[in-house]
Amino acid sequence: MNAILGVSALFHDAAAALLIDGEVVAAVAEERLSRKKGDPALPKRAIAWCLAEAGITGDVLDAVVFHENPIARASRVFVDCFRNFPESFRQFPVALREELGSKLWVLDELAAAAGVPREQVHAGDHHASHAAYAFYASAADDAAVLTVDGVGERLSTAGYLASRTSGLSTPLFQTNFPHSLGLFYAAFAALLGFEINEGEYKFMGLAAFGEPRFKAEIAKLATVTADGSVRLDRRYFAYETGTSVGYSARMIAEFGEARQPGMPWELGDARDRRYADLAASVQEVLEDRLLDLARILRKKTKSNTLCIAGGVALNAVAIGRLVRESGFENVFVPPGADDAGSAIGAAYNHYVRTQGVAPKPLRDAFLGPAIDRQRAAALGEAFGLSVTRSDAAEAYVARAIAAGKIVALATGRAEFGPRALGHRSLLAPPGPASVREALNRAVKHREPFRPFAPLTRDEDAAGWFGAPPDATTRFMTGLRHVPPVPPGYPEDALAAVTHVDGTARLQTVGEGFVYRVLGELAALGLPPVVLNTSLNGRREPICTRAEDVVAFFRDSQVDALVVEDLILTRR
Amino acid sequence: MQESVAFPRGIWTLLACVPVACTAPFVHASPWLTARLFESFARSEWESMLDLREAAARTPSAERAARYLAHAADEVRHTRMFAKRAEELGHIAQDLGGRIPYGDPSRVEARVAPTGLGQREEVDFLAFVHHGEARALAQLETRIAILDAAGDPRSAALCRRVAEDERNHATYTWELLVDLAGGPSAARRALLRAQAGEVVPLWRAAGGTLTAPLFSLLAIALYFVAGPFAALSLAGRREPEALPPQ
Repeated sequence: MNAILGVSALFHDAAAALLIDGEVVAAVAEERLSRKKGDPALPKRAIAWCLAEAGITGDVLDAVVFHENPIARASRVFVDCFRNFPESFRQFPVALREELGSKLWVLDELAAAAGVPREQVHAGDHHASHAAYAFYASAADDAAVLTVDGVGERLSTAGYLASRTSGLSTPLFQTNFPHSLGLFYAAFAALLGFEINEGEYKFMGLAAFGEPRFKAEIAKLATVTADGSVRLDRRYFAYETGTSVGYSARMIAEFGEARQPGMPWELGDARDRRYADLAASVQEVLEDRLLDLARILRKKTKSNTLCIAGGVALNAVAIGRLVRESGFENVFVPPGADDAGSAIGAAYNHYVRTQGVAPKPLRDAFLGPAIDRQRAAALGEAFGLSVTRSDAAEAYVARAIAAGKIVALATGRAEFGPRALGHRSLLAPPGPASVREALNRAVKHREPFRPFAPLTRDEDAAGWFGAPPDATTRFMTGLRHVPPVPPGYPEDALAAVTHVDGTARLQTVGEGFVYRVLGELAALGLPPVVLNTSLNGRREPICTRAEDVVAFFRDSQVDALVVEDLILTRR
Repeated sequence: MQESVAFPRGIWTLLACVPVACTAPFVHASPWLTARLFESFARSEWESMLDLREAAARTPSAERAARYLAHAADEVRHTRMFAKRAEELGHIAQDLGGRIPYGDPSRVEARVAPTGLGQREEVDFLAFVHHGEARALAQLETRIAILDAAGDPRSAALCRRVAEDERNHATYTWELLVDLAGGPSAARRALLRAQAGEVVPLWRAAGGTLTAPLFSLLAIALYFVAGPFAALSLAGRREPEALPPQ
């Protein structure tokens, strides 16, 4: 048996993943166990869970691989500090504390956490880890691979050619820090008061409400050269010298005052509409630059498949445009394509290097802890909830949705990555629009502009969403334009899952609990579509264990909780 | 104010009121400073919620897990209440969910193995939580009097509502502690261990508070000493900030 533990940590979204004989058998982000959203800490809980899940201990591991090289990263941080002397004087103490205080010793700490000798702990390469995850998780035999994020050790963008027989090429093009599309996007997100590494997806949702009237000015700040290099106008960005926000005084002078973080959004207000226009402009520029990179990569590789990873790959709107306009026949984004996924990528790369063969593609995203139904039942009873067992839980969920109710669902193993794919989900009717408002206001307590996603069966995708399932619908990583509702159904049947710009982040399923719920809905003469959103409250990670799930239900306004074959309701 | 309490109030708990009384003239000198204090309370409540969630996931007893989870829900409510009052007082509270001080490792984690909560560990955890709740109650009672005297009845009313919950938390944790430890004297011993266990973290926190600015000053001094040499050697590699005209 060959067992490799991959780990990512100490920036954001720490995770651990266990690869046994080239197959991912367990993977979980630390936040799902620590309950700290985006938890960057060394994932000791995740490591312990991965080993326990496989029934092994550290001494059985062949290797532990960290997703990047801490020495190369620290070297870049300090060199850049001095390159920006003396403006970076605020950054230096922070860099010194973070790099020398913990990050530089991460391999030693990993050895202790996993219980392996230090010689068995290896450092990977940040973008190669992203690239390996993007490619080997897919079923493609060969592909062009694009990695785009804030920054790794030094790279922020890279293009590769990959094949299952010859592995991953050296970068065909690359961009080094400080030029970075991820940091370009993050700086504008910070200007609008969103938190860096957390608020970018809110920024993407907001963009749909604006008009891209600043696009021409913003396009001048980020370009892609003919050889695939990203270039930013660094005068507008402050992340080389500052410690918290990424925008400079020049950006404020040109694009207006920064928005106060935490203020409620009023999109009817002229000031907030202007921020939405700014978001729309930045979003379009990002999409254009990603398209530029994808087209250059297609020209260089002549491949029909594009695999993409890195934090920017979470931008479903941009991925939607790549699917439509990049010229690639298939575009694949793995679940958890940000730093969490690079834990898997690091393990993949080590496996290829030591075993000389390609690892197995990802079967599904359900790699996390299984729900403990007995514990859920005991907790439900301790809370005074009604707990009943049912042989027809799917039919119960369908009937509840048909009655306009919101159902929390916890079944099987938890999803890896930021999307709930039907195992830790809140399900609701896909229309009318008031469902979205009720869910946002009463359950999710989040910004009014945030959209909800539809989930349907593979065989219903063409009829309800204009085209059959593709590589992005499996893990909800792309976007579809929503066509008119089929005849015989109310016009607003999909209004709660259609964003203001007429798009939806579609997921399709071919089996499992939710597939059967959708079948029951169809049998009731209703659309075989549900609104699917993550099972969590505001500012909390997705519920994973029975304790999280039952506590969420107890404190929320959700109508019922279904845990496998158990139905929990309030008495 | 309700007087009867089922749990003991030790000297350490009462001594914790002294710094509250001594620092009151400073921390309530302006609404903004009070807001900062309430924001720090919100943060503490959130951290406490995480500890309780962790314990709920590890205890073998579903009944105790349910108590911890109900307690955690109260802590979330307190977080929102303190954050809201901080906002009202003119200080925008930060996004607490995203900005937990990650450098401060979970206190539960420091006490128990990552896989389970054995009886001894759970006794220690309960003693730790009970001690924290009893101390918070005593401190809030002191603060309520100060806020009333300072003419801030809204803040005082907030503290009064939270204090009521803290009293319930201290009561149930004491009951569970006595039950799990095997009697009041064993529970008191566990409480003493929890109080003693605070000394080292307190010493470290005090050291950290004192040395953090010193570290920053030394680091900046090092930066300015080393900076010119580094900048000189790298000057040739520095690229222009602006992009060429398109």
